[in-house]
Amino acid sequence: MEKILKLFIILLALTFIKFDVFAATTSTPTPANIQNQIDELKNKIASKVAELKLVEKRGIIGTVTDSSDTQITLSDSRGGARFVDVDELTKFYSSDKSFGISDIKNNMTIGILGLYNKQSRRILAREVNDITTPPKIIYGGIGSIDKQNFEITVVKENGAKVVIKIEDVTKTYSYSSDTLSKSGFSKIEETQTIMAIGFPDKLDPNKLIATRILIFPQIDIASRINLGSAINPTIPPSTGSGKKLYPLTK
Amino acid sequence: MKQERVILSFIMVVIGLLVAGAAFYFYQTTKVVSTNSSALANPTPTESPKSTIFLSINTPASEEVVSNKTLIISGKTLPQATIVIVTNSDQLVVKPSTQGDFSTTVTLENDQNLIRIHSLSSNGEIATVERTVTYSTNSF
Repeated sequence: MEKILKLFIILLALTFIKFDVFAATTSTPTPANIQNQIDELKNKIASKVAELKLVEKRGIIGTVTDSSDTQITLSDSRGGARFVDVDELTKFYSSDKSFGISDIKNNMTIGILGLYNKQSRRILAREVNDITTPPKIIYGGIGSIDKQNFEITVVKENGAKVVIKIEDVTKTYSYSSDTLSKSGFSKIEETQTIMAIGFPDKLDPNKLIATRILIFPQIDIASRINLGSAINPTIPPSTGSGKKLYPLTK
Repeated sequence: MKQERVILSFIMVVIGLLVAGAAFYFYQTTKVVSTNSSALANPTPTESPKSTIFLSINTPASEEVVSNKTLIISGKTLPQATIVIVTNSDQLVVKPSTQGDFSTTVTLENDQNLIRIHSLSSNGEIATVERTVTYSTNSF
């Protein structure tokens, strides 16, 4: 019995000695190993630092969808909901000096400058600015031009038609031969590629009052844009009684 | 005799466990883990048959806050494309390099600036990226 126990103890001791020897041989430091360990450590430190940097300064623009004394909910340009916290340190700026949290109403466009928490995805507002709604941009092909009313019908890629109203304040530019130069309404032609920047007409939501127009004569209209009947629409003359006169066809 | 058998069995079990443990240890220390995850991280992009235009913006980052009124806009698109940058009050048209890289500067207004960057291909296709950049020198 004693023999067996002694043998067992010797075996056990040998096993552990072996382990130590192998462990020592496997962890023999080589320059490559040390470099790997340094890199690993660097990565760990970097990720830890990134974790700690939970808060960063950010500025956003959005349309108010909901507001209370301590929170504003915005819809950003992508339609995503953004949650903004307001506290006693938040400052409010507007042309109206008495502008405050109680003046924030739904559908207002505001700008927020604050501290964004990456974990909670909320912004603690430090500044709330009452800003004007950014202009809308319409891109497409010119389907028709109404020279009497100074209106252009633009066909978008999705097939929708938008009427662009040209006003005295509208600035027109043309881009050709790598140069953007001033142009005029009279130089705009059908089937040209257009980018119109402006604000929706309050009376007609399908109409855009243009502040700027960019024409690209050297860029083809996208193949997805179907100008179709928008080009030279045949408007039958009115008789004045509400009936339209159509030409006789053989 | 019976007691010896029990002890012997116990010793054999312990030796067996030690051997298994040692084998597992060696397996773990000698195992090579593939660090080449690029194939997973960057899958080969499948080109859309509908559109070939693309636009990626290097700077500025989305929702960035800057303390300098002059902002550099840089990115990559098709070499033949035309870049149109529309800000609240201005517009710029630039051509990318033969590699498709472009870089230009715009002047920011106070507070939030909505910058819309469009890339127009010669066949009329468009790609758009929006960036909100806030100019502020206030510290908080």
